[in-house]
Amino acid sequence: MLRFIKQVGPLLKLGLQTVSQRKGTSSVIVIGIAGVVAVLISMLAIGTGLDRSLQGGGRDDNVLLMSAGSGEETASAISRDTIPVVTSLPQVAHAGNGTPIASAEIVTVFPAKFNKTMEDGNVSLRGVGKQGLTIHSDIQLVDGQMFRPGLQELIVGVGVARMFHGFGLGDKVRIGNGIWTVTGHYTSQSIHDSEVLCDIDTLQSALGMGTYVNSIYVRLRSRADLQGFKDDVARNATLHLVTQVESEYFASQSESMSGTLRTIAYAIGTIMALGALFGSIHSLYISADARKTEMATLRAIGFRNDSIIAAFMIEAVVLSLVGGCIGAALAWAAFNGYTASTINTGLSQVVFKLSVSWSLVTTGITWACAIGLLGALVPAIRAARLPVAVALRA
Amino acid sequence: MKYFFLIWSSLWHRPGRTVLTLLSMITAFLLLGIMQMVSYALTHPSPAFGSDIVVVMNKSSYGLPLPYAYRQTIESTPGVALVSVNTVVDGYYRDPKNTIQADAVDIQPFLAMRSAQIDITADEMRTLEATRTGAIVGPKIAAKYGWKVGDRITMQGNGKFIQEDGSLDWTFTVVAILNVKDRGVMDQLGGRILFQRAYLEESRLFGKGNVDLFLVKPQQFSDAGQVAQAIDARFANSSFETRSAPLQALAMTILKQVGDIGFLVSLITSVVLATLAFMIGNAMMHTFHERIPELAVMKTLGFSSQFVALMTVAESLLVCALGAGGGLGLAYMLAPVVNRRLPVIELSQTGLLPGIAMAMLLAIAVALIPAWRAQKLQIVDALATKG
Repeated sequence: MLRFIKQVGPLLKLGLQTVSQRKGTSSVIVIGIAGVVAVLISMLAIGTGLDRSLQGGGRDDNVLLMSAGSGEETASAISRDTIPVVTSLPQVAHAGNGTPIASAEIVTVFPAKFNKTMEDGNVSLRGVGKQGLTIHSDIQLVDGQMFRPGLQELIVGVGVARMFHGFGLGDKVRIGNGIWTVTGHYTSQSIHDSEVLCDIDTLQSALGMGTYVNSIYVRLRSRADLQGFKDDVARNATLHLVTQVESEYFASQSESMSGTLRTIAYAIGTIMALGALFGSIHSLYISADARKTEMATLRAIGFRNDSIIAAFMIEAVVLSLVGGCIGAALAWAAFNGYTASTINTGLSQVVFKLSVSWSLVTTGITWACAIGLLGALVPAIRAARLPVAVALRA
Repeated sequence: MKYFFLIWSSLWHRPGRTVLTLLSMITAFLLLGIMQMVSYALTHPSPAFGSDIVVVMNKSSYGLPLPYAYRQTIESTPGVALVSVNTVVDGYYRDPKNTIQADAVDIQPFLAMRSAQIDITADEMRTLEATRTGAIVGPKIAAKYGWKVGDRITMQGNGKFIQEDGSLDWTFTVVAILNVKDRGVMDQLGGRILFQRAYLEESRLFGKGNVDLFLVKPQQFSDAGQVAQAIDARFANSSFETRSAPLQALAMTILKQVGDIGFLVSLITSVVLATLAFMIGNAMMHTFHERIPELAVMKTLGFSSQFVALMTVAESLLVCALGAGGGLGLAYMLAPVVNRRLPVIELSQTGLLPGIAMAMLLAIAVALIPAWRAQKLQIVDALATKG
């Protein structure tokens, strides 16, 4: 065993020192792996970016009520009469002044133009109740001031402000037949970044849609009250509502969006990795073939077969590692912090930021090493099995 | 043809390597095929959307209603042949997990608009007219829930569709299963429940007199754009302004909004292809290099330079044809599977055509240098090369 380790060291050193003499095959491996890793990391960065903007921010003690059978807020409709029934349940938390912490909300979309292309897109508009910003506690005003209920004013998520044209402070936005003024910009850790917020009553009277709301958000006194609250809502047969914890709702929304994308990312990543695997096995075959004589010579002067195989494989892994790092660096340079948007449920746009995190980089480099290791195995064994005499004569 | 076996056997000069080249080529072209289909799908809305139907919506938002009273004005707009309203009732069937939608429409014009694609029998139409709660269900949804003609089905509407008695139960009588003549529209129409607007109008508590949108069929297919403009002009500066667009154009604007994802995916896939093409090209060059002595032997035997060059080209074409054929074939077979899982886009196998052109290009590019070198080969030098 000791001899094995003793031999691998110098063999590996020899192999790596002569890499420059095998520029062709070595660079094929490095470039191939770099490509695979760059692609895999970029695809996953899109997925995690989307996840982060759809998933984050939901609270465990916020409960979302929608009409039974609706998978998302825009498809839900709740009669206004049911709002007090829900908010007067005993599990609901109360603000200092005794009002329940709850917000009945309207979610709709309106057309706007993309900054980049000036083409038509849709912005999601959320009308919130008086306690709206208490409920959505992740929303932080970064610029300007809050909208005032009764006036046609709105505050804009930074994602919308970045992606769409005409959402600067003081800008006038046309919604229906009304002209609304942008009074502030806000950030959030969630989907609300891709939304515009205003007062629900003002919105409903402006659009003439006063009979129902899309959803009701309620803050519970504690997470432990969830079951009791759910039971109470379910017991009231006239309500026809379903209860979902806000954080779980966000997670399920994100699942349907980025779940598809993640499937695509892994599918393309896997096909790609297979292609690269075949490519690198091929390159390693060529490399092993070219070094038949060298390997046979080494065996003739007393190096063990397994140490030759090990050294060859480690060399392949080192090359893959270099490729993996180059690929990760490329993906990082191209996409880290890149802001993009795509279509979400209800046809509005969701704005997201690609982020190349360390965990993605690790995933990518792990794949790289795995491909290198797998690719080197067969050629190495094959070359090492060749009888010394035959190989030396070639 | 008599040389085919020569080419074929020289292809398998090193079977392991050829298999590897073929496999990496198959994966490359599988990816290319998928990418082509996706980008084709993102720029070509499914023909099932019906290019000649114009949708009239509320200008402010997709979700906001329009007054039913607009119908007369729309009908009297020059160039309009047929008008149907459409209001979507969201709800569920039996279990909140079974989300379904029912469309309140003007049945006759709605079916007449798509008479080439869907219909019901005259008998069924008579029954429907006599049944207030009558509904036509698509074959897909009927199969899913086991609905038959004559069944009474009850869906739970959401709060927008409370009935005057406070109930959310909407009961329909199935009078017909929609006959879908054009398989292409199965995804769009096979899962729909169509019922008469009058039933919704009489029973609903809120939103009486409102509809979600109007569907309009112009007299001339080519007039769709003009008709849309004329309708919008009629309602300009009214309290509910309209936004009209041919269904196909509407689908296009929706596809465009997939935007950045589409762009990112095609950018990334291009990198993939470049990488794989590089690896494949390299491997094929290497194989050629190894076979130089063999080519020299052929020349010694009296084959002409041109013939040896042609052989090299033919071999590379054969490899590319096998690899590209395999990969694109796989992509072709995958398209229907993917379509079943992705609701928004519809992959079309037409998108594969550029892939075939790419395969030929690659084959020629890869073959060019070897062919040139094969022709120039000096027998003496070549035979001296170590294989």
